[in-house]
Amino acid sequence: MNKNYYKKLSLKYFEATLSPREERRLKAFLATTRDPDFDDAKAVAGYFAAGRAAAGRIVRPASWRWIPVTAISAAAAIAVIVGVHIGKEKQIPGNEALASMENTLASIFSSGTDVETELSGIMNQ
Amino acid sequence: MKRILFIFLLCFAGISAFAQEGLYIEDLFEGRVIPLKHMKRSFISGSELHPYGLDTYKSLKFSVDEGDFHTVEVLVMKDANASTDKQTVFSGDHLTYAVICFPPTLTGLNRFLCFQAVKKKGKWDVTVVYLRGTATVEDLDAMFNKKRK
Repeated sequence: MNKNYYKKLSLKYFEATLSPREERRLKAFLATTRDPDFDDAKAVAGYFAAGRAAAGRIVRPASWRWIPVTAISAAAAIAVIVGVHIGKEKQIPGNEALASMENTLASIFSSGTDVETELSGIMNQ
Repeated sequence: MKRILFIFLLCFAGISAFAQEGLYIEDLFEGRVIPLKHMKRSFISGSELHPYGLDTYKSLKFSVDEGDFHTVEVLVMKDANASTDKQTVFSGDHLTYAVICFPPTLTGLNRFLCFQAVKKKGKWDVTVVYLRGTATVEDLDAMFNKKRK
């Protein structure tokens, strides 16, 4: 047993500067040691352990339990949709694309029958 | 776990329905009628379109035989049935031109489907355009109809 090491850990325990790994090691040691030098640390650690056991599991109101579940589900669904959408459609920036769009729309809106007359007919209905 | 899956599916269905905007022609844009590799696709959205009063422009250009053309025609005509206004031109039994106005989106944006088809050497050259934005059909006609200018 490296007593100095665990003494150092117990001091850090009271200063709340232990890493989770160090805390696990210290608690494992305190659970087995009978050295009176560690009685104070054992008492405090035992107090918190007993407190946790007495308090039992923290129960949130039923309505709260839906919040994280709903948030995770909605976020996942949005991520999937955005991912699929971006994967399928590549946006084309630039003047070339706009020029192509103008040509296509000009072809559509200028072709066929007299669009102006027919559209005004539709609007007047 | 079942609850998470249920909510996920609910959200997925809702958002998917919004993305497809309930149009039959979406099948064509998604490549479920004609393979995507056989179509020339364009998609523009965002601030570049603001001068035109639009926020989304999607277009497809492709050449198909009589059978596939009929399938596309049927999709366009089905969407035309849900239109608020439409202008259609038929050549014989075939739809060759359509400008279809749909009810606005929940956010108040106008939506249009434009269709143009020309038969060349036994094949149909087809252009399908989906537009969404604040522009009305009159605005679009004023901007793009060269006969007016």
